[in-house]
Amino acid sequence: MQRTRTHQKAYGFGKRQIALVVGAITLMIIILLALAGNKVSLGEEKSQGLEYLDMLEDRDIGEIKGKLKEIKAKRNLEMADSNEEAIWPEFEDSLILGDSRAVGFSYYEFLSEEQVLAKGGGIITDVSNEYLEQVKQINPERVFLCFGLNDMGIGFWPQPQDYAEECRKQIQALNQASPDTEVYINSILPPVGVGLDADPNYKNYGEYNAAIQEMCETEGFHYVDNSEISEAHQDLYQPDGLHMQTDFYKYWAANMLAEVDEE
Amino acid sequence: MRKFYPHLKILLTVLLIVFVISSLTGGAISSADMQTVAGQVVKGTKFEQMSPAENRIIKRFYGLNANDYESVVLYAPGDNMDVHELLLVKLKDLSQQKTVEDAVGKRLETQLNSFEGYGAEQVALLNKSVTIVKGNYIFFMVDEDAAKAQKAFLKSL
Repeated sequence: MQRTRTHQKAYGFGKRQIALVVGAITLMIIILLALAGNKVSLGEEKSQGLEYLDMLEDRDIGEIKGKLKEIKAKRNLEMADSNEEAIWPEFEDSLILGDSRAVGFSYYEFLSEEQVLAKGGGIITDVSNEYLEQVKQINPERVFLCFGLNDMGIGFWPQPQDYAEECRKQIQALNQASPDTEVYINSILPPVGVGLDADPNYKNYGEYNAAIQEMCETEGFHYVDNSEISEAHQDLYQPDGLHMQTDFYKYWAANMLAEVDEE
Repeated sequence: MRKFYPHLKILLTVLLIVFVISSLTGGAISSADMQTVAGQVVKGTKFEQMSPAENRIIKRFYGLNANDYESVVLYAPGDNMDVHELLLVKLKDLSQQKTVEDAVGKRLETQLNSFEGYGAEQVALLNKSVTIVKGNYIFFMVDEDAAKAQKAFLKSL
């Protein structure tokens, strides 16, 4: 009896102990399974991330840049509505060169007359014929070229490619005169309504813009595409269908800055 | 009474001379207030529905400080392709005439240079601009109705 009792004491387990052991083992199994599950999940995530990076790698860099520019343009255009005052100081160290449409930047007092080298009837060759020395002296951070309408009408460049070549020469002249200045060329703001009938060549603005854009891509120049803002804000043209009302300028400026932000 | 007669003759002669000189030189001083004059001038023109420009625009376009004068009213062009404008200045004294005349001449020259060889309609209208210096008042207008407004201006003084 004594032995039996001793044996029970030394090797026997009560129900409580057995339940504890089973519970502990179950808990360990659950923890192991959970850890294994996590490992699988992390592995999947890692694999998805790598796939995404591979996909990004495969995508054209230009496409990504374009997407970024699109996002920035959208943000800037929203800013033009919500916080217009924030736009104009961004032009502090910039010059705008252009025609009567560019004159609006100073006429409506968004920028000073010193910042806007423009006149009615201005054409792209004014850059080297009239403004080069001023640009050289001022040495601005940026120059925005806003020409095109008179250039199409004047008949000096009946072929869009010839005009794009002239633009290339003018940008090159600016680069040589003021090497630290970044030059941005605006697409030609399209004439609308009656404006399209003001000159037989005005309807070709799309071809001219395509030629300028292609030249910019080849040369690595900055091209500001204004087609979307012109389309979206046709109600902000003057009755002549060529010039812009005051409220158009903030959108135009914001769109230019989207190109700058890309840097 | 007879002994005052020679003095009266002299006085009348002097008054006549002053009147003739002032008429010839356009030096008549008008006491008409600017609000009345401007109201008559713009009546029936496109400026009637517009608000006059702020003083900084007067400074920008003409280089004149409005506060240096008795009163200045400017109806400025609505945009940079527009040349219609009206300037009325009431001088504090006639010594200011030349400064204002020069400013008007310079403004006209600037506008003509802006549109020369580019805006035929604008140039034609600018060439028909009317400038009148009448004593302490100066009138400058670029508008199809300038002749009509000119008459109203002279009548209102």
